[in-house]
Amino acid sequence: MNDAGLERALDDLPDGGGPREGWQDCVLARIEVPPARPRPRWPLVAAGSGLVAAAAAVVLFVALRTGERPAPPADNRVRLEQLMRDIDETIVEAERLRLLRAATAAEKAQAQAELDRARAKRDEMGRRLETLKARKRKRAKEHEAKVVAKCEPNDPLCAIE
Amino acid sequence: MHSSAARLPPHPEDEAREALARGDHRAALTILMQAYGRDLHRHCYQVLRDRDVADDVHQTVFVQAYRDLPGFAGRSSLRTWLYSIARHRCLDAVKIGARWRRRFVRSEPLPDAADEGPRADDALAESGQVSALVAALGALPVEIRIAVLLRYREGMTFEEIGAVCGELAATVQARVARALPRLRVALGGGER
Repeated sequence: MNDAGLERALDDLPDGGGPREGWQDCVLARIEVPPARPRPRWPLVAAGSGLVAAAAAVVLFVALRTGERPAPPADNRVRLEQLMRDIDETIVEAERLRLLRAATAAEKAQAQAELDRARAKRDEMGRRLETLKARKRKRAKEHEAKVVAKCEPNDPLCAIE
Repeated sequence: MHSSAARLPPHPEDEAREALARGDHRAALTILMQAYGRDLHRHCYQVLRDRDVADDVHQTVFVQAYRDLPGFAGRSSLRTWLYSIARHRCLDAVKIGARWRRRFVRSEPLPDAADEGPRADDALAESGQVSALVAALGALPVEIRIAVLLRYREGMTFEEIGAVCGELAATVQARVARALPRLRVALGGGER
Protein backbone atom coordinates (compact mmCIF):
# COMPACT_ATOMS: atom_id res chain seq x y z
CA MET A 1 0.00 0.00 0.00
CA ASN A 2 1.41 3.37 -0.92
CA ASP A 3 1.29 6.51 1.11
CA ALA A 4 -1.76 7.80 -0.74
CA GLY A 5 -3.71 4.70 0.27
CA LEU A 6 -2.59 5.09 3.86
CA GLU A 7 -3.57 8.72 3.82
CA ARG A 8 -7.03 7.86 2.52
CA ALA A 9 -7.41 5.27 5.24
CA LEU A 10 -6.32 7.77 7.89
CA ASP A 11 -8.86 10.24 6.53
CA ASP A 12 -11.57 7.70 7.31
CA LEU A 13 -10.66 7.47 10.99
CA PRO A 14 -13.67 8.17 13.19
CA ASP A 15 -13.67 11.68 14.58
CA GLY A 16 -15.70 10.92 17.71
CA GLY A 17 -18.74 12.90 16.62
CA GLY A 18 -17.24 16.31 17.29
CA PRO A 19 -17.44 18.37 20.48
CA ARG A 20 -20.71 18.26 22.36
CA GLU A 21 -23.18 21.07 21.98
CA GLY A 22 -22.59 23.97 24.31
CA TRP A 23 -18.93 23.17 24.88
CA GLN A 24 -17.89 26.75 24.25
CA ASP A 25 -20.24 27.94 27.00
CA CYS A 26 -18.66 25.35 29.31
CA VAL A 27 -15.22 26.74 28.56
CA LEU A 28 -16.37 30.32 29.09
CA ALA A 29 -17.95 29.32 32.40
CA ARG A 30 -14.75 27.58 33.51
CA ILE A 31 -12.56 30.57 32.77
CA GLU A 32 -14.71 32.66 35.13
CA VAL A 33 -13.68 30.41 38.00
CA PRO A 34 -10.24 31.35 39.30
CA PRO A 35 -7.75 28.48 39.26
CA ALA A 36 -7.45 26.53 42.50
CA ARG A 37 -4.60 27.71 44.65
CA PRO A 38 -2.08 25.03 45.38
CA ARG A 39 -2.59 23.51 48.78
CA PRO A 40 0.11 24.45 51.27
CA ARG A 41 2.42 21.66 52.15
CA TRP A 42 1.77 21.50 55.82
CA PRO A 43 4.98 19.77 56.95
CA LEU A 44 7.05 22.39 55.16
CA VAL A 45 4.88 25.19 56.51
CA ALA A 46 5.22 23.82 60.04
CA ALA A 47 8.98 23.43 59.72
CA GLY A 48 9.32 26.90 58.23
CA SER A 49 7.25 28.58 60.90
CA GLY A 50 9.16 26.69 63.58
CA LEU A 51 12.43 27.98 62.18
CA VAL A 52 11.06 31.50 62.04
CA ALA A 53 9.85 31.26 65.64
CA ALA A 54 13.21 29.91 66.80
CA ALA A 55 15.07 32.67 64.98
CA ALA A 56 12.78 35.30 66.49
CA ALA A 57 13.32 33.84 69.96
CA VAL A 58 17.09 33.99 69.51
CA VAL A 59 16.93 37.59 68.33
CA LEU A 60 14.70 38.59 71.24
CA PHE A 61 16.92 36.80 73.73
CA VAL A 62 20.04 38.53 72.47
CA ALA A 63 18.34 41.90 72.33
CA LEU A 64 16.71 41.74 75.74
CA ARG A 65 19.40 40.14 77.85
CA THR A 66 20.99 42.40 80.49
CA GLY A 67 24.47 43.80 80.31
CA GLU A 68 25.68 41.40 82.95
CA ARG A 69 28.13 39.01 81.63
CA PRO A 70 29.37 35.97 83.47
CA ALA A 71 32.49 36.78 85.43
CA PRO A 72 35.66 35.57 83.87
CA PRO A 73 37.31 32.57 85.55
CA ALA A 74 39.93 34.73 87.31
CA ASP A 75 37.27 36.71 89.18
CA ASN A 76 35.58 33.51 90.27
CA ARG A 77 38.85 32.16 91.59
CA VAL A 78 39.44 35.29 93.63
CA ARG A 79 35.97 35.15 95.06
CA LEU A 80 36.42 31.51 95.98
CA GLU A 81 39.74 32.16 97.66
CA GLN A 82 38.20 35.10 99.53
CA LEU A 83 35.40 32.87 100.70
CA MET A 84 37.80 30.23 101.88
CA ARG A 85 39.83 32.84 103.75
CA ASP A 86 36.66 34.01 105.45
CA ILE A 87 35.97 30.44 106.44
CA ASP A 88 39.51 30.11 107.80
CA GLU A 89 39.03 33.32 109.80
CA THR A 90 35.89 31.86 111.30
CA ILE A 91 37.79 28.70 112.19
CA VAL A 92 40.53 30.76 113.85
CA GLU A 93 37.93 32.59 115.88
CA ALA A 94 36.34 29.31 116.90
CA GLU A 95 39.73 27.91 118.00
CA ARG A 96 40.37 31.04 120.04
CA LEU A 97 37.08 30.61 121.85
CA ARG A 98 37.92 26.95 122.43
CA LEU A 99 41.23 27.98 123.95
CA LEU A 100 39.47 30.43 126.27
CA ARG A 101 37.09 27.68 127.40
CA ALA A 102 39.88 25.12 127.91
CA ALA A 103 39.94 24.05 131.55
CA THR A 104 42.91 21.80 131.83
CA ALA A 105 46.50 22.27 130.66
CA ALA A 106 46.10 19.43 128.15
CA GLU A 107 42.99 21.02 126.68
CA LYS A 108 44.71 24.38 126.55
CA ALA A 109 47.75 22.86 124.80
CA GLN A 110 45.55 21.10 122.25
CA ALA A 111 43.42 24.22 121.68
CA GLN A 112 46.56 26.34 121.25
CA ALA A 113 47.94 23.87 118.68
CA GLU A 114 44.66 23.92 116.77
CA LEU A 115 44.60 27.71 116.93
CA ASP A 116 48.13 27.92 115.56
CA ARG A 117 47.26 25.56 112.70
CA ALA A 118 44.13 27.57 111.86
CA ARG A 119 46.07 30.85 111.85
CA ALA A 120 48.77 29.35 109.63
CA LYS A 121 46.18 28.12 107.19
CA ARG A 122 44.37 31.48 107.27
CA ASP A 123 47.60 33.32 106.57
CA GLU A 124 48.51 30.93 103.77
CA MET A 125 45.09 31.46 102.23
CA GLY A 126 45.54 35.23 102.63
CA ARG A 127 48.87 35.15 100.77
CA ARG A 128 47.31 33.11 97.93
CA LEU A 129 44.45 35.54 97.77
CA GLU A 130 46.81 38.50 97.53
CA THR A 131 48.77 36.72 94.78
CA LEU A 132 45.58 36.11 92.82
CA LYS A 133 44.51 39.73 93.18
CA ALA A 134 47.89 40.93 92.04
CA ARG A 135 47.74 38.69 88.97
CA LYS A 136 44.24 39.93 88.19
CA ARG A 137 45.38 43.54 88.40
CA LYS A 138 48.32 42.80 86.18
CA ARG A 139 46.16 41.06 83.55
CA ALA A 140 43.68 43.92 83.63
CA LYS A 141 46.47 46.41 82.94
CA GLU A 142 47.83 44.29 80.09
CA HIS A 143 44.37 44.03 78.55
CA GLU A 144 43.84 47.76 78.78
CA ALA A 145 47.13 48.32 77.03
CA LYS A 146 46.17 46.04 74.09
CA VAL A 147 42.58 47.08 73.53
CA VAL A 148 41.88 50.60 72.49
CA ALA A 149 38.23 51.28 73.02
CA LYS A 150 36.92 53.74 70.52
CA CYS A 151 34.32 55.88 72.07
CA GLU A 152 32.27 58.55 70.54
CA PRO A 153 32.28 61.55 72.87
CA ASN A 154 28.52 61.75 72.91
CA ASP A 155 27.90 58.04 73.18
CA PRO A 156 26.03 57.51 76.45
CA LEU A 157 26.92 53.80 76.50
CA CYS A 158 30.62 54.43 76.50
CA ALA A 159 31.93 54.68 80.09
CA ILE A 160 34.39 57.46 80.22
CA GLU A 161 36.53 57.58 83.35
CA MET B 1 -15.38 51.50 -10.96
CA HIS B 2 -14.95 49.19 -8.14
CA SER B 3 -13.16 45.90 -7.92
CA SER B 4 -15.30 42.86 -8.33
CA ALA B 5 -12.88 40.65 -6.40
CA ALA B 6 -14.59 39.14 -3.38
CA ARG B 7 -13.15 40.17 -0.12
CA LEU B 8 -11.59 37.28 1.62
CA PRO B 9 -12.77 36.75 5.16
CA PRO B 10 -10.12 37.59 7.72
CA HIS B 11 -7.97 34.66 8.77
CA PRO B 12 -8.76 33.55 12.33
CA GLU B 13 -5.08 33.81 13.24
CA ASP B 14 -5.04 37.48 12.29
CA GLU B 15 -8.34 38.17 14.02
CA ALA B 16 -7.24 36.46 17.19
CA ARG B 17 -3.89 38.29 17.20
CA GLU B 18 -5.67 41.59 16.75
CA ALA B 19 -7.92 40.79 19.71
CA LEU B 20 -4.83 39.87 21.72
CA ALA B 21 -3.10 43.08 20.73
CA ARG B 22 -5.97 45.15 22.10
CA GLY B 23 -6.07 43.04 25.26
CA ASP B 24 -9.41 41.37 24.59
CA HIS B 25 -8.46 37.83 25.59
CA ARG B 26 -12.01 36.63 25.79
CA ALA B 27 -12.65 37.64 22.19
CA ALA B 28 -9.39 35.97 21.13
CA LEU B 29 -10.44 32.78 22.89
CA THR B 30 -13.85 32.81 21.19
CA ILE B 31 -12.20 33.20 17.78
CA LEU B 32 -9.86 30.31 18.50
CA MET B 33 -12.67 28.08 19.72
CA GLN B 34 -14.69 28.75 16.60
CA ALA B 35 -11.73 28.29 14.26
CA TYR B 36 -10.03 25.27 15.77
CA GLY B 37 -12.48 23.72 18.23
CA ARG B 38 -13.73 20.93 16.00
CA ASP B 39 -10.32 19.97 14.62
CA LEU B 40 -8.81 19.92 18.10
CA HIS B 41 -11.61 17.74 19.41
CA ARG B 42 -11.06 15.28 16.60
CA HIS B 43 -7.34 15.22 17.35
CA CYS B 44 -7.92 14.64 21.08
CA TYR B 45 -10.40 11.87 20.35
CA GLN B 46 -8.08 10.08 17.94
CA VAL B 47 -5.19 10.28 20.38
CA LEU B 48 -7.18 9.25 23.45
CA ARG B 49 -9.80 7.02 21.77
CA ASP B 50 -12.36 7.84 24.45
CA ARG B 51 -15.07 10.40 23.79
CA ASP B 52 -15.64 11.47 27.39
CA VAL B 53 -11.95 11.90 28.13
CA ALA B 54 -11.51 13.72 24.83
CA ASP B 55 -14.36 16.10 25.72
CA ASP B 56 -12.76 16.95 29.04
CA VAL B 57 -9.26 17.34 27.63
CA HIS B 58 -10.59 19.41 24.73
CA GLN B 59 -12.25 21.92 27.04
CA THR B 60 -9.23 21.99 29.33
CA VAL B 61 -7.05 22.92 26.37
CA PHE B 62 -9.05 26.07 25.75
CA VAL B 63 -9.30 26.95 29.43
CA GLN B 64 -5.53 26.68 29.71
CA ALA B 65 -5.10 28.61 26.47
CA TYR B 66 -7.14 31.45 27.92
CA ARG B 67 -4.97 31.51 31.06
CA ASP B 68 -1.75 31.39 29.01
CA LEU B 69 -2.79 33.92 26.35
CA PRO B 70 -1.16 36.85 28.15
CA GLY B 71 2.16 35.02 27.89
CA PHE B 72 1.83 34.03 24.25
CA ALA B 73 5.00 35.31 22.63
CA GLY B 74 3.94 34.85 19.01
CA ARG B 75 6.94 32.67 18.13
CA SER B 76 4.57 30.14 16.52
CA SER B 77 1.10 30.31 15.07
CA LEU B 78 -1.80 30.23 17.50
CA ARG B 79 -2.91 26.94 15.92
CA THR B 80 0.46 25.30 16.60
CA TRP B 81 0.40 26.70 20.11
CA LEU B 82 -3.05 25.24 20.77
CA TYR B 83 -1.99 21.83 19.51
CA SER B 84 1.05 22.00 21.74
CA ILE B 85 -1.21 22.52 24.76
CA ALA B 86 -3.44 19.70 23.53
CA ARG B 87 -0.45 17.37 23.25
CA HIS B 88 0.55 17.98 26.86
CA ARG B 89 -2.97 17.51 28.16
CA CYS B 90 -3.40 14.31 26.10
CA LEU B 91 -0.16 12.91 27.47
CA ASP B 92 -1.31 13.70 31.00
CA ALA B 93 -4.63 11.99 30.36
CA VAL B 94 -2.89 8.90 28.99
CA LYS B 95 -0.65 8.70 32.09
CA ILE B 96 -3.58 9.11 34.44
CA GLY B 97 -5.58 6.49 32.53
CA ALA B 98 -2.69 4.01 32.65
CA ARG B 99 -2.31 4.53 36.41
CA TRP B 100 -6.03 4.11 36.94
CA ARG B 101 -6.11 0.87 34.93
CA ARG B 102 -3.17 -0.55 36.86
CA ARG B 103 -4.98 0.07 40.10
CA PHE B 104 -8.63 -0.60 39.40
CA VAL B 105 -9.20 -2.67 36.28
CA ARG B 106 -10.33 -6.17 37.21
CA SER B 107 -9.19 -9.22 35.32
CA GLU B 108 -12.78 -10.44 34.99
CA PRO B 109 -15.87 -8.25 34.61
CA LEU B 110 -18.32 -7.71 37.48
CA PRO B 111 -21.53 -9.74 37.24
CA ASP B 112 -23.80 -6.71 36.81
CA ALA B 113 -21.47 -4.63 34.70
CA ALA B 114 -23.07 -2.98 31.70
CA ASP B 115 -22.08 -4.25 28.33
CA GLU B 116 -18.78 -2.64 27.64
CA GLY B 117 -18.68 -3.55 24.00
CA PRO B 118 -18.20 -0.94 21.32
CA ARG B 119 -21.03 1.50 20.76
CA ALA B 120 -23.12 1.09 17.64
CA ASP B 121 -21.79 4.12 15.82
CA ASP B 122 -18.24 3.23 16.76
CA ALA B 123 -18.75 -0.32 15.55
CA LEU B 124 -20.07 0.96 12.25
CA ALA B 125 -17.21 3.36 11.82
CA GLU B 126 -14.59 0.89 12.95
CA SER B 127 -15.25 -1.78 10.41
CA GLY B 128 -12.73 -3.55 8.29
CA GLN B 129 -9.67 -1.57 7.46
CA VAL B 130 -10.62 1.33 9.63
CA SER B 131 -10.91 -0.94 12.64
CA ALA B 132 -7.51 -2.43 11.89
CA LEU B 133 -6.02 1.01 11.44
CA VAL B 134 -7.52 2.25 14.71
CA ALA B 135 -6.05 -0.76 16.49
CA ALA B 136 -2.67 -0.24 14.86
CA LEU B 137 -2.66 3.42 15.81
CA GLY B 138 -3.62 2.52 19.34
CA ALA B 139 -0.69 0.14 19.53
CA LEU B 140 1.76 2.91 18.66
CA PRO B 141 3.45 4.80 21.50
CA VAL B 142 1.33 7.86 22.18
CA GLU B 143 4.03 10.33 21.12
CA ILE B 144 4.33 8.66 17.73
CA ARG B 145 0.58 8.42 17.42
CA ILE B 146 0.31 12.15 17.96
CA ALA B 147 2.96 12.85 15.33
CA VAL B 148 1.26 10.60 12.77
CA LEU B 149 -2.15 12.19 13.38
CA LEU B 150 -0.76 15.72 13.21
CA ARG B 151 0.86 14.86 9.90
CA TYR B 152 -1.89 12.91 8.19
CA ARG B 153 -5.07 14.17 9.82
CA GLU B 154 -4.25 17.74 10.72
CA GLY B 155 -2.05 18.33 7.68
CA MET B 156 0.82 19.90 9.57
CA THR B 157 4.32 20.18 8.18
CA PHE B 158 7.14 18.47 10.02
CA GLU B 159 8.37 21.89 11.13
CA GLU B 160 4.98 22.63 12.67
CA ILE B 161 4.84 19.19 14.28
CA GLY B 162 8.32 19.77 15.65
CA ALA B 163 7.12 23.03 17.18
CA VAL B 164 4.13 21.26 18.74
CA CYS B 165 6.21 18.41 20.14
CA GLY B 166 9.27 20.42 21.05
CA GLU B 167 11.44 18.32 18.76
CA LEU B 168 13.46 18.86 15.63
CA ALA B 169 11.56 18.45 12.38
CA ALA B 170 13.97 15.70 11.29
CA THR B 171 13.34 13.76 14.51
CA VAL B 172 9.61 13.92 14.00
CA GLN B 173 9.94 12.91 10.36
CA ALA B 174 12.01 9.86 11.30
CA ARG B 175 9.50 8.92 13.98
CA VAL B 176 6.60 9.07 11.54
CA ALA B 177 8.55 7.19 8.90
CA ARG B 178 9.17 4.31 11.34
CA ALA B 179 5.46 4.12 12.17
CA LEU B 180 4.17 3.96 8.59
CA PRO B 181 5.26 0.35 7.83
CA ARG B 182 3.40 -0.85 10.94
CA LEU B 183 0.25 0.92 9.81
CA ARG B 184 0.55 -0.47 6.29
CA VAL B 185 0.89 -3.98 7.66
CA ALA B 186 -2.30 -3.42 9.68
CA LEU B 187 -4.09 -2.38 6.50
CA GLY B 188 -2.89 -5.54 4.82
CA GLY B 189 -0.70 -3.68 2.39
CA GLY B 190 2.52 -5.22 3.59
CA GLU B 191 5.80 -3.32 3.90
CA ARG B 192 6.70 -1.06 1.02
